[in-house]
Amino acid sequence: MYVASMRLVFQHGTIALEAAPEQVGELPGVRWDARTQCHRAPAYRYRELRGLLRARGDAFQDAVLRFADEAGSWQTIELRPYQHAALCAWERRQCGMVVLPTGSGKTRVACAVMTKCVAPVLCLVPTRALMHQWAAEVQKHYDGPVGLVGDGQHQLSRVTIATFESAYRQMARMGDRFGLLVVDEVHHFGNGVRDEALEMCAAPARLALTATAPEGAARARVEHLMGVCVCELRVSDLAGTWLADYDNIVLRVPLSARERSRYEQYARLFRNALTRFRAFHPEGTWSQFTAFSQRSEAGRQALLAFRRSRQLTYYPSAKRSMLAALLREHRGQRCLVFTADNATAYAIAREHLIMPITCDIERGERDVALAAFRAGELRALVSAQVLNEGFDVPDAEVAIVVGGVRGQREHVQRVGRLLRPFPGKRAIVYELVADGTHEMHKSEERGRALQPVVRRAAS
Amino acid sequence: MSSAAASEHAPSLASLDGLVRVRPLVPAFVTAADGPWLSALLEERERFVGKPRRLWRRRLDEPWKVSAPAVKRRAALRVLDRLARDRSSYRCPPPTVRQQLFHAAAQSGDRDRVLNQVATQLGLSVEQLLEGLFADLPEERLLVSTPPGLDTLQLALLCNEQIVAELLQRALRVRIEASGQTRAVVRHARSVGLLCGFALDSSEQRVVLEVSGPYALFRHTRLYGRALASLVARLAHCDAYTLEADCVLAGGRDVGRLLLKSNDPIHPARALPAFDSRVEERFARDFGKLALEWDLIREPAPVALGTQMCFPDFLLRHRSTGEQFWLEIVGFWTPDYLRHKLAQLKAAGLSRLILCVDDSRRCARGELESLGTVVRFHRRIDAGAVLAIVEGGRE
Repeated sequence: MYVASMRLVFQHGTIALEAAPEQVGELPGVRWDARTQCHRAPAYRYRELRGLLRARGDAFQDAVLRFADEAGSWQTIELRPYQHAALCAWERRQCGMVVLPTGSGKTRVACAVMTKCVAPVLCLVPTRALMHQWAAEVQKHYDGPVGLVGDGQHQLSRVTIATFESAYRQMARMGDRFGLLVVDEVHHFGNGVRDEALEMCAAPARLALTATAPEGAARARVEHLMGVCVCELRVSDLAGTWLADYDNIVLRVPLSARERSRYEQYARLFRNALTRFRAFHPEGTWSQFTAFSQRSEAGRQALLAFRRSRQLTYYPSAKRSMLAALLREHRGQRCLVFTADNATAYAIAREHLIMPITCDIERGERDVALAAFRAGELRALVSAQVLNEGFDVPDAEVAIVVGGVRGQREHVQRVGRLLRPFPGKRAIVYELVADGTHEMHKSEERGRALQPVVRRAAS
Repeated sequence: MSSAAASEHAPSLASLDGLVRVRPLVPAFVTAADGPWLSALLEERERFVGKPRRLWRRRLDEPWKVSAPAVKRRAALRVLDRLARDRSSYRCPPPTVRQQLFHAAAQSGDRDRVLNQVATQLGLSVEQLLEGLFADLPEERLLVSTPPGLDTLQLALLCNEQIVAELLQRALRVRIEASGQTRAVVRHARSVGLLCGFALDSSEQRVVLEVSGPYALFRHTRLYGRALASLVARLAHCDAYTLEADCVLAGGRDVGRLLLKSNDPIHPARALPAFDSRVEERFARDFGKLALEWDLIREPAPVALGTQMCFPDFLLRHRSTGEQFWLEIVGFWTPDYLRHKLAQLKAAGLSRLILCVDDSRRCARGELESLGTVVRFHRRIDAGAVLAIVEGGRE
């Protein structure tokens, strides 16, 4: 009887190669672990490792993945042409990133991928609310049990949905239980924070979904962990056909004389501190500047001035009156109001008696409010971050962006809230911009974010 | 370097060994010299008790009469927040207020009329209605007084514990040399998913522990931060210890070595439970009553087993002759594991170790033949059977 002398096992988010050291040789990502006297690789390298060992002709016993027995069955899922194209592009590689605008049916593409995969699936989503939303969506097409990890639950099933946070904490223990890893809103990864959730999972097949792909080094990191971009479409590619058309109206509002004077005062204080820092550190980064400033009272005051100058533009008097006018004008339509911070959201809620949807409001209450908005019992909602992504908010016609802090990605996500189509719908996005402030630059950035993309698919 | 690139090139256990120089990391402990600003902080906080947290937060941004080092003040604020949780105060549950008010507002455009109507329905004034609208949310909750008797000295010690915990959360690996009560440290390190290698030092008086997270081999991760920080609470119960931690700083660009000693001004940890399990507790009580000539010593010094080490649960010592036996209560076991362990003990010349195995924690089939110093039990260890072994051993 032939016995393989090398064995691959999953241990704490890593793949341990149980073999004589000289037998392992040079393999990418594999390191000698003196603590346990064996070679190890990060779990995400399992697929690559398996391929290399086979290509090298090494015999090995593969004991990495442990799958549960129970299985449900999937219904056939009908796809739109661009969704079908995304599925085909993914199937060729069995890994990769699909970039589609909000409202274009990313979850449906994910479900279609799951139907093609015989192994258990783990879907990662950013929030608890989205976890329940995904479970409900999967249950429409799948008749087996759907496991949940997060929000106080820990049930693993053939299809399991987990929050990013829970996956980050639990992946070292459950990373060997799945053959397909699906990551929604993957742009949250790639910057080193909680990337372990992807690194400690051994699933060989991987699908990443987002409306706004990460940029630069973060994109490279996500592509390294999840596979290259196989399909990319923007809002402008689908608006007017599969998504509702929309108008983007930028309204510049002036600061009052008093607000202007305070804004200039704060800005000057901050600029002076930055100039002093630049004199010593011409190439210094923002984080180095903040670390440097924290060391002195003057530096701390400069950082405070920076924050206050920003806060001043979040909801000045002119935005206040403009918002009142817009809400009056669109009283008969469903409006979403987006703010830069929770404090502004609460201020607007008090002034205009609009329900706020923030991270502080508990999930049950948020769900009730969203259901009421959907049913037309509430005419408007105000939110800082929570409504930016993921929530299924159908049929809103008007968005009023009072403020934002996260630039292009945030804007694309917010606009996407309005674009679920129905016959005759033309959405309106109002951007309120404080004239002569940093917001002018931010507004230009937002405009660029909605331009068509040049690259559409991986080569 | 971007954070994404930094995570790819972050220090790992492998790269750490190649570093030529690791700079010393000296924690800025809060001392008696910090008394004035700690006192000012406590006094100022007391003025805001009963007021919404957002007002206190705003106050913290403003200049202070007595300046404080930023790191120390941040630690002090975290400690105070941990000690005194904010409370909510309202006449009508805020979710009810919100539900009624916002639904009513969706039906009518007249703000004043809606406010009056809902306030009347809920039996509140309009001011009370608006005040209670968000009273349950974190920024609107009311600040609560610190626990009675908390003085600047106690606060300083708690701050130091916080400062050390924050540094250890960045640790890539921790090296501990300790004597007395080290078993609790090893057991805890393993229970929280850390790899813990151990050996006796050259004098054979102190245990040397090397603790790190499994994934640390590839890169630094904060996944193990809380687990590494929790070791300090266990170390406080050792007779003496030194701890060296290699901490990743400046977003992965730098590594600093933190050195802690048992006499550093860190707040003593919370008391550990006297026993790890009910089984241990019952056995100690039963054996104590039955074997009056024997002393039962809990968590004795570890025993070297060749290159490995063994951490027995009890040492049984005869008061007049000084004869001694070790006793270990085994967790999950298989017959093969027990045979291997006993062979190891024999090879190391340790025949006087009694293994107590729980029948309900057997993990594999197979006969368990009579293995001499193995006592099988179900829920409760038979103290009489153990006494028979030690008395028999004496004869």
